[in-house]
Parts: sequence; C-alpha cells; structure tokens
Amino acid sequence: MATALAKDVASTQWVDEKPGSFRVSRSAFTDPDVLARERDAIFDHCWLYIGHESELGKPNDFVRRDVGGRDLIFNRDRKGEYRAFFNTCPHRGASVVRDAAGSAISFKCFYHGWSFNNNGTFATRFAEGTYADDFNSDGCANLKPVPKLAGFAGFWFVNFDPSAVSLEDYLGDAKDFLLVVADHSANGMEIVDGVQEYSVKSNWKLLVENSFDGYHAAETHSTYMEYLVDAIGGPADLFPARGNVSRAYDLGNGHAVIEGPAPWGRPVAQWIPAWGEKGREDIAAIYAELVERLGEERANRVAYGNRNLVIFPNLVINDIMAITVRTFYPESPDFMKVNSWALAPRGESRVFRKRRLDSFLEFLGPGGFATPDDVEALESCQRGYRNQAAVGWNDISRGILKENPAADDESQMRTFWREWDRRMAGAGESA
Amino acid sequence: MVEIRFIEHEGHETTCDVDVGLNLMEAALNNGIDGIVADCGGALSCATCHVYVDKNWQELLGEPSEEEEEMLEFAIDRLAESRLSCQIVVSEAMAGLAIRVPERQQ
Repeated sequence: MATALAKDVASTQWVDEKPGSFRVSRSAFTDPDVLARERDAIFDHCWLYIGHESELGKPNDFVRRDVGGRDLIFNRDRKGEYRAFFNTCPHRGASVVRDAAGSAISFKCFYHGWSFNNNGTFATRFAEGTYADDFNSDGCANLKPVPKLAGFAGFWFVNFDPSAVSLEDYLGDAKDFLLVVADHSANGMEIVDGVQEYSVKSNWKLLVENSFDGYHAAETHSTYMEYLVDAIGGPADLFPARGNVSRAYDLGNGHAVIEGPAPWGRPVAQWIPAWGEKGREDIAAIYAELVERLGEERANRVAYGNRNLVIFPNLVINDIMAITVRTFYPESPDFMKVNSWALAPRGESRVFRKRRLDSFLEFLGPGGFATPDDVEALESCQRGYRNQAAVGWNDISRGILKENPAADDESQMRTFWREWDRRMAGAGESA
Repeated sequence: MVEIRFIEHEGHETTCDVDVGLNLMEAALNNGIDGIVADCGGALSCATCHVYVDKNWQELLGEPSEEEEEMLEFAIDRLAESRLSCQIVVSEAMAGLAIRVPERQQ
C-alpha cells in the first residue's frame, strides 16, 4: 500500500507509488473484479471517443459504434444536429441500426417495425385502443439518447454520466494537442474510408502503455527501423527548433503525450530524400502555408513534431508518419478489441495521400511492420502474468527522478496510472 | 427535373425543382417544407407526411394502396384529397403539380 506517499486522493492496492519507485500490480491486468470496477469507475464516467466529424459529412449521415461496452448510433439529424443514441429498440431491444454506416432520415427496427425520426422521436401510429391514450407521453418509445455528447476540434465524445464535467474541462491541456492535429490543414481533417479492426489477447491497459511507449521502439521494432534506414533514402530534415529532444508531458486528468523528432517522412511537412526534388518542393509549399496560417513556432510543431497522445482512458491519437486514431475496449481481462482509423488533411494531393497511407500500413495495423510486434509483446506480457504469484508487480519507474522526463521514460504512463488509481479508488462512492 | 409547388396552410408557397424518381416527401424535406414532418421517413408507419392533392391530379397519381389507406386513418384533418406524400413518386407527367400541406401533422 502507498500509505507513505502524500497523495490528495485515496489509492488502491493496485498502484504502489513511493519516492523513486512506481509499481503496478499484475492483478490489475488479470482480475475480473478489476474489469468490473473499471466498467463502473472509468468507462461509465469518462468521456469516450465516438467518432470524427468528417464521418458525418452531411445531415442524415450515421455510423454505428461500440463504445464502452454499448452499441451506439452516432448521427446527424435532418437539421444537421449531432446526436448519439443507444442502438436498441425501446420495444424489445433489437438493434435499430444494423449497418455500419449510411444515410437515413429515419430508422426502423426490423423486428416489429417500430420507426423513429433520426432525431429519436418514435414515429409509429397505431389504431385507437391499441395502446393507452397517453402511450409515449413520457418518451418511453423514443430512441434513448446518450446522456452527454460533445465535440472538440472535430473529435466527438460521449459520456454515460449525466453529471460529468464538460468535455472541455475534461480534456484539460490535451485540448491544445487536439488542435495541433486539426491545424494540419486549412481545409479540415478527414477520416480516410475504412477501419482497421483487430483483437489482442491482452489487457487493454497494456495497449494504453504501448501506444505512447518511446522506450520499446528501438528494441521491439528493430525490423521496421532497419527497413526505414533504406526507405527514407538518407537523413531527413528534423525538428529544427527542438535539438532532437523528445519530451513527455502530463496534460492533466490522466491525459499525456510524448512529443519529439523522428526520422521518417511526414506528408505534413517533413521531407525525406526518398521523395525526391519534386517532393521537396511540394513539402516546402505545404510548410509555407503552415507558417503563413499558424506562425513559425506552431508550424514547426505541426510539421516536425511527432506526437503519441493518450486521452484518458483509451483514445490514442498518434501523429507520426501518418495519423492514427485508435480506441479499444476490453471484452475480458485478457482480451480486447481494437479499432483504428487513418486521419488525413482534407484535399491532400494524391501523391502525398498515397505516401501517407503507405506509411500508415507499413507501420500501423495488423498487416504492418510494427503492430504485429506490439501484439506479440502485449500477449507475451499477459502470458507472463500467469507467474504473478511469484512475480507480482510491473515496474513503471523509468525517469521518475527527472524534472523533465523524456519520451523514452515512463512518466506518461505514470500519469495514466495515477488517474486510473484515483478513479478506481473512488469507485462505489457517490459521484 | 420537374417543377412542383408546395402550398402551406397559411398560404406560403414554395416552388421546387424535383428529380424524377424521388417521392414528394423527400422533395418536401429537401426543400425545407416545415409542414411535412415525415417522422418515419417513408416506412408507412406515421402519417405525418400527409398532403392534399387536387382532384384533377388524382387520376394521374392513381389510387392509394391498401397500406396507404390504412395509414391515412391516422391523418389529422383527413379529406377526400388526402394522400401520404411518401407514397407518390415524382414522374415527368407531374410537372406543375400543386400540393397543399395541412395545418398540422400530429
């Protein structure tokens, strides 16, 4: 127990923080009771990502999403308002929306045919005497809206807790890092069609850690790093103002990011020799537009900064050789389902979109160079936890004595775990 | 494109160019005709896209189906000219059709 530590909140038995030491119990990755408590303390109270505004480009567009263990409809109604509903018929429970995405001015349950305006209003009339005269006067036959829905910088979130703090308060200092992503383009950003869906036989929190783990890259992804040396064709123009320093930042409320230079090409806007002289001119033009619109300092962050961002608890936005937007949810302590999308500047040229998506697929996702390495690492950790009776704790103390921790330290993970600990300790108390 | 006029209860008139093949409910929603609620979106379950079609056009439009007749039972202020606009598919022959929108749908 972390009884010696001066913390202003209660802690749990799973996180043990003392001066110079930070450890997490391996039971936090294996215990079904921990998962049950996470559903209550975390997924039922935190803002969870549901989609990007570009996925609902027009009124009446909808997508179907699994979020926090719920089956949800995220849509725009006929007036263009953004909405989120639980995807279950108020009558018997069947899924009202059965397609992954589409455009519809109304939804109709396939079971008994109950119909709904896409603003959620029940839309089926019955002959007089079929139901009581005041049927649905309490809205019991309307689609049930998710208690809270809000967007920031194009990213939309839901919250199942009606008394949750506002999205902007929740995001804290992470807001600026979402705005940096939005700043990539004067024309807005868009999710590229398609989604990577895969599963990992490990606890979901291992993927949180892995998603902004600057320490593992050289070791785990040596195949990709060796490939990259040839693929980039020589030294890139790196983050000029940062002196090649990568840093980790605590953004408040459990959100954290690592930011720094990387050797790969970035379609916005870091040139590599493999792109040739024409590519250098094109990148110079993209960079010039960034400077004009954003000023030089912010343009440099957009162009040369690589960011691995985790919005607590489980939204990953990695702005690296491409941009991935990733969420994942536990099905059991040792199994998670992952969804990843590619985000890109709207109106990007065909040649740079191709480079972006090639890089995305080379590094990210189940068919890439990196994700299979990561999946093996995560599943290996999970298997290792069978030995927890003998070896019961993970060490997360790297860089703990530094005032300015680096991206290959572990302070960003400690930020996550402290918030996890705080929320888990409060589970069961009144909100 | 076929020109269709929607005349709302208080007399406001909107002239719309409608693609052949759309139905009149879709045409009304696309053109912001507030008097058409169309909650069920054409599922033939709500009768809130109720309109009046003058008698001299009814022959061209044909008889309402049995299902439409059943649903028209729920239409408010039903008249002999009542139809559900979701059931009328626009054709070239409907150029100049005038549709009256009732005072309320629910």
